Amino acid sequence: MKFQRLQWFVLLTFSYCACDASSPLPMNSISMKNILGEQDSGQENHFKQALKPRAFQFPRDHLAHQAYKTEWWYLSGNINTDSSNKSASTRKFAYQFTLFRFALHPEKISLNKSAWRSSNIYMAHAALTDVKNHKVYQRERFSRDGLALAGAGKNENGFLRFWLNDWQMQSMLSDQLFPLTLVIEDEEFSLNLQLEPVKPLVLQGNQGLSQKSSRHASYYYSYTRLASKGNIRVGNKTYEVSGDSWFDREWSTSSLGENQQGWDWFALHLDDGSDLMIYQMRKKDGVKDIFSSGILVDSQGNHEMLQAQEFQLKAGEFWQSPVSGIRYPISWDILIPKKNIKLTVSTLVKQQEWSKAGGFSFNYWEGSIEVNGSKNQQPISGSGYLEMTGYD
Amino acid sequence: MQLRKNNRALLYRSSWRYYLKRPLHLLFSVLGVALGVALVVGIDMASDSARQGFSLSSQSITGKASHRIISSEYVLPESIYVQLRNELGLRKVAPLIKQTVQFNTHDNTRVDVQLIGLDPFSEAEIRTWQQGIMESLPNGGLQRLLTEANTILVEAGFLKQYHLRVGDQISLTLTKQENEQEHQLLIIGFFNAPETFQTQLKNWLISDISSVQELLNLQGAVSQIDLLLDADNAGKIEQIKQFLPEGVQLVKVDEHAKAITRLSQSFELNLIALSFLGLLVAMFLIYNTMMFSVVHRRDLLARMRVLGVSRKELFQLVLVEAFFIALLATGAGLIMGIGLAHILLYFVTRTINDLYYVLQVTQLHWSYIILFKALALGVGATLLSALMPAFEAAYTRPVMALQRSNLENKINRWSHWFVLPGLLACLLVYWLLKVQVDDQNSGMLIGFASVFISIAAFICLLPFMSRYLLALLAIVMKHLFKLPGKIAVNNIVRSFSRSIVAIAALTIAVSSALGIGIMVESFRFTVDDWLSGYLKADYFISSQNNNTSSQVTALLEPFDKQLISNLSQLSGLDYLSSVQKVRFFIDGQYHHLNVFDIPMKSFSAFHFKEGNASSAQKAWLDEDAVIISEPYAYRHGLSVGDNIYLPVNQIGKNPEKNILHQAFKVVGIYYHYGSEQGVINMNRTTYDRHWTSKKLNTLGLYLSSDILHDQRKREQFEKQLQVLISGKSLHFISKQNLHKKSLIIFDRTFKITNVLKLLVILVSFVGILTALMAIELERSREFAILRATGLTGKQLSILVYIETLTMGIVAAVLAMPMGIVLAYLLIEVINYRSFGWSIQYILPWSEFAMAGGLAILAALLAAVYPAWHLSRTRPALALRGE
Repeated sequence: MKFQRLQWFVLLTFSYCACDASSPLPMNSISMKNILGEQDSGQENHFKQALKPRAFQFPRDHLAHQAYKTEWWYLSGNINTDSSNKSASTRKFAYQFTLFRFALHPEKISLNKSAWRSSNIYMAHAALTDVKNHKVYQRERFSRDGLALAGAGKNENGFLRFWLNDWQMQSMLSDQLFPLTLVIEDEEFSLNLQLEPVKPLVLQGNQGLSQKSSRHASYYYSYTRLASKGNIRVGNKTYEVSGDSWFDREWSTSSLGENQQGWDWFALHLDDGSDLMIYQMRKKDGVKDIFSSGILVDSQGNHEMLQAQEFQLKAGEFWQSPVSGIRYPISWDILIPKKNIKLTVSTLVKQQEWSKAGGFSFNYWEGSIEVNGSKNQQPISGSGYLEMTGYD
Repeated sequence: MQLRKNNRALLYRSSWRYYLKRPLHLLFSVLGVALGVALVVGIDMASDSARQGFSLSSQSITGKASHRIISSEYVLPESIYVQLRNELGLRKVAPLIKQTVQFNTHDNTRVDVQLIGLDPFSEAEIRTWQQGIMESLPNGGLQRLLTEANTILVEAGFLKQYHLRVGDQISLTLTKQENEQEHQLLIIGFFNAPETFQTQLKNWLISDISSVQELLNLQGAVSQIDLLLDADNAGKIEQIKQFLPEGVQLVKVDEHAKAITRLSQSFELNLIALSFLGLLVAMFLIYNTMMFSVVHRRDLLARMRVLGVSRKELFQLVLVEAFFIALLATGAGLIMGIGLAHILLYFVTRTINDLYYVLQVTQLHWSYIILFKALALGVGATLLSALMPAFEAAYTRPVMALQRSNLENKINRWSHWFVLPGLLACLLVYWLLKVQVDDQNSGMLIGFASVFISIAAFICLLPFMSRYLLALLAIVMKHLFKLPGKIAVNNIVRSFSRSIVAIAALTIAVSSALGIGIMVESFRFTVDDWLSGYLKADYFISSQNNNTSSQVTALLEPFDKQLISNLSQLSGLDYLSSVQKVRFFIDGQYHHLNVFDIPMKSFSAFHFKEGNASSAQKAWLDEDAVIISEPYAYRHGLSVGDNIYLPVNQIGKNPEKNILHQAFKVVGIYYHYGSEQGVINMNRTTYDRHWTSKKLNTLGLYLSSDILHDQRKREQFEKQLQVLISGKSLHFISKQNLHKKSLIIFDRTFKITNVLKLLVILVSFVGILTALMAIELERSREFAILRATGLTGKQLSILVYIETLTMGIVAAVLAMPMGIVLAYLLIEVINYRSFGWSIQYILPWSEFAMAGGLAILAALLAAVYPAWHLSRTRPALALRGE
């Protein structure tokens, strides 16, 4: 599950005013307000809405849906050096890559015009967390889709390709999403990973229709566990790594409900082979919305939905960002009584924050987490990713 | 001690009173210096502002970029940008399209503005002011910019200046031509530019690159790509260079900007030389007025000497007076100079736009250097000119003070003494002309030096020549005007020390005007003559945006295969010729190559200065040969038989640069006045052997003779032509009209010269006026005696007019040879050395008539006030004054 889209709307409708000229604005931030226009501009009317479950067709649905306003492809994972041998020399890393598409038009703009004319703006966030050194490398990029500067489509061999300039995810077989390679090159870091699912695709929500509020929903599916291996570079040191990743896909047109403030989203890989995704939509008064939900996937790939009332989330330690001044709860207790699961989530690297003050387009916390607790009274641990928005 | 101090105070008070009583005298003194200073300041400021404007506009375009990718064909395929990002993974890279277009204001005037097409997503890393734009975008502004055609953002100052608001539409035309299609652009937002760039950005209409491509019909291309590269990362730079296709180059931004400003260097240097000519004339003026004030007070000074004032003190007194006049005048000159700079700036920028590069400057650039220069020149020149009068004041001997003839006797002797230095100076000029220098700039400096030395030589010889001329005129005037004629000429001779200065000032001014006039006329004649032979085709078709000064010249590839095939099938067409313009950036300079596909009968368009036409033609057809224009040969020191090396992209052949420099033999140097930088010309087939691009810039249509001379058929042909090119942003022009148009631009370029010519004359006019007044007022006693002995006021006026007429004639006669010499120097030395152009030397009688008329008219006008004044003075009063 990946809600950042919603967050932009939060930002543009609620918090944009708080961050205008008075803050030391970074050079490369592009205001979402400019890209997407007013929420109430009526533009949404021209786009299709995610209203009822759809019959997913693959690989077609892995690619872009121009008729919907926003869409994203999300990967995150915890990857370590030499994970077979948990010696002291193991280095822990974590990464995140998100490719967003924002439609400027519900249809492709006709040809016979300048190739720069674009139907979509793409944005990508790539991050690498060096756990040992408590360092986070983050990079944001924007591009139009004109001139094939960015996009989601098939290459001449039928391989699926999702790219923004030279950053890309590309499948290794025609008409199939996996195995998938992720290639991110930057001055400070690089990622070069091969990903293969160990469990089948799961449709989130109601057969892939994920209700976010009484009026808003999105299409949402995930590959909860991808075996990941490859190499990464930090500075000019390269490391062989392997680990587990999470892949999310979501698209829609509508935004957050009127009364919603943000969300907390957890994607956990537990060491018994099961995966847990939970998100809570927070209302403006801080109370969990009934549209919060989750999913539990066992090691065999069988899944079970979790309703809002079936889990409890409790924020623990708060951390205030020295960059943005925003306070985020960076440890959480997760309680799922019906499954007899009690987990505590915490992070080794607190500053995994994307902020406007830090030079990015909006504020959120997204980072690698550790999980400890019990399942059926047996101790259990794991790792995962946490995303928190709306904490301005 | 106290006594000396009091003395000095008294002394200065007397000078103060002297000037206070003669405000007109003071005014003229100040005006003379002020005009000279104004001339220098005006020219200096105007060219400095132009330079500053260019630098700012270049900075605002360049931003943080360190490198730029440019093309030999003026535009780049946009795919290069995509590859840089998608394949090479470069992030700090931004494409740009920049084109000067015409904004039609509410009151129907057309204003040059820059249409800028950029990619908002790549700007952040390159152009710093861009962030301001992003921040000020209204809701959904970016979306509109990207998806709606013809949406623009403007600087707040633009809205203010033209009383516009966000949401208003403005109208644009792409060129200055009449009946040009208008395009409506919608202002969707505004931004506040950083103060440094405000003047530049105020004239920029910023749009998405897509809108600009569609508007200019430039799909697929950009003007340039700016990059920020790590200078230490030689590997990356090398990688980019290797990756670029033929004709596309990676250059350093500062080198590129330098190469562009270098284009107008000669032009600016010429302007500065002109301003110094003005100052030189002004120095005469100062000398004149200071000398006048000394002579006028001779008896006063003599009395002071009697009273015990020392020579040193009198010397100081004159210099101190000069100093204060200089300060006053420099202040006035600065103010006038700023006013003048405003006017000149218009001409300077227009000339630069016509000839060199796109430049928009409306703001004068002020620097303390200008203030210091003005002070140094104003005060320095004044003190220098006041030295002689100061000496004269110091050496006033009490007894001899009233003997005018004393000084005149001295001057008469001096006039012979000056002959030798004058002749030596002539020899020096002769020697300077023989000096060969390789460096173009020192060549120009020597050129200017010889101009100034020859003026100095002439000044030295002037008294001597004037004496003989006056002797001759004495006879003529006596014959013409009887006794008054005789008296008048004698008066001039008797007050030779005064009159010679007036004559000299007038002569220098008139001869400068004449020299410049002959030069311009000769130049024009040469260009006219050259155009008649050079333009061979009957019609030319080129892109509407084709502006030789524009960086983005032929923006697009207007001549597609279909059009060319249609054109060649036009009935009555004999031959379809073409020119492709290509440029190379080699060693920090642009080298322009014209690729010709012309019928062989047109080869005669190349009028050779060096080389044999028939062997050159053979080599042109069959070999790797080029024909170069005279300025190109001059600038690069090339002769027939030398080789030119041009980069041919053949990766791997030269491991160092991966660029093979192919040698092309120079088989001819021909006269060409179309480009100051010079051009290389190559036959189409030769070019095609080494390069692949075929982006034509101009087509030439040769008509068969039956159509050519049949007006009706010709009109029909033009109609067909119009139909074929309509909607393609092309335009055609007949040979005759192109010829005319070229001459119009030529004339426009020399407008600034005319303005300066007028100013020099104005300065000299004030000079001769003060000199005449000095003469006439000084001799009021003599005139009073004449009046007393029966001469009427009217007769006295006539006498004065005859005197000034005589002086005007002397100046006119002497200015003729001097003008010819100056024209010779300007043409042979300055024009050739600055620009490398051989100019046919013509002596237009009109220029001589004008120069002569001017000298006499100025002299007569200068007599109006003294004549009026003297005729009204009562003899008794004047006599008593003594």
